[in-house]
Amino acid sequence: MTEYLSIVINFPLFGVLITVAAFYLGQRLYARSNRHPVLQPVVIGMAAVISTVLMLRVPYESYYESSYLLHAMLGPATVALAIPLFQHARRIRDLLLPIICTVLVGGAFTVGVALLILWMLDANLSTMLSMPTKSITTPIAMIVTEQLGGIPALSAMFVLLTGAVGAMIGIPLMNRMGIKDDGVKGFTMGLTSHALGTARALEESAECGAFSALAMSMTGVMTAVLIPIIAAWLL
Amino acid sequence: MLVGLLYLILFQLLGHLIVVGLAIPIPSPVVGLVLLFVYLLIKGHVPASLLGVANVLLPLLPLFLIPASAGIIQYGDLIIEDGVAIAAALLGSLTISILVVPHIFLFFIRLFQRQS
Repeated sequence: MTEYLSIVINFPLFGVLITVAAFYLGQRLYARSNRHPVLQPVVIGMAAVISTVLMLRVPYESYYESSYLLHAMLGPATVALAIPLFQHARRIRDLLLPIICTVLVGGAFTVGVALLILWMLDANLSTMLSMPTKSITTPIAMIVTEQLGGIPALSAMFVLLTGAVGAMIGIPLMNRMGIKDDGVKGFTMGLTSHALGTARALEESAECGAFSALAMSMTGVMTAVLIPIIAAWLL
Repeated sequence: MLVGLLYLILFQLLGHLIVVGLAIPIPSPVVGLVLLFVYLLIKGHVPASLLGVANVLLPLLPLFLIPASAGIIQYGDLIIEDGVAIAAALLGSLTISILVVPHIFLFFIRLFQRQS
């Protein structure tokens, strides 16, 4: 029995298998619950993957290696975000100045509030150094955090939690506030909750997704450029 | 569709060449995204093959994020130690930002509309 289990665990596509199965489970639960915002497929998928990996005592490294095929597709999928972006290029061009200003002010605001709360609650310095990238997409966040001297994997967790919670609460919260414009909603999703927020925004409408993709890429690029400069000046 | 996938990978590679060549700390796919966007602006329309592959890949974006994200299982101790502060900072800043950012955006839209 243990022998068969180790054959399964060492199967080269083991990671792909459990990740796709976990995500599919997440999608089914999400659909069956009439898209209940708490049941985001990625959150259920992640919880299912983590519990499977822990239960079978698979080291994280070997899970990561055998699921690399999926991780590698993150690159082309990110590049593909240029397509919804292009489809709404006209509206984006009309709003270019407000977009740039909002990314700068909104981005600084969300990082500032988070750092203030951490500082008030007396958190470790490495936690604080891993926080400023919480709203930007994982690959950029990990590179910038490394530059800052934080812990890249910790920043990846902050990014994921921010994205997952943002995807859960973002749209309902803005609906309740009476925000009706899909562009404004999408922009806020991308600025605060990166790729996960964008995935949720794409569910609303193509326009919502396009603005989210735009906000995500602009916030990511501006953070990657500005945070190391600001940090060098402050520290 | 296959051609669309080739497009995406080639633009990512192009981004990678620029990132490595100029030694800039921005991920290759983000540079590839910008390059593909510029290419589409020049071309004026999205080729059908690209549209096809985007319709397949974009809904799967969260799936592709799971392998890296599951890495949090390696950082149990620090998460427990700073757990309360982390939860408060993440939830607090996120909620406040979702409430405030739409108004910042609407404010700037009105500000620049008035000027033009």
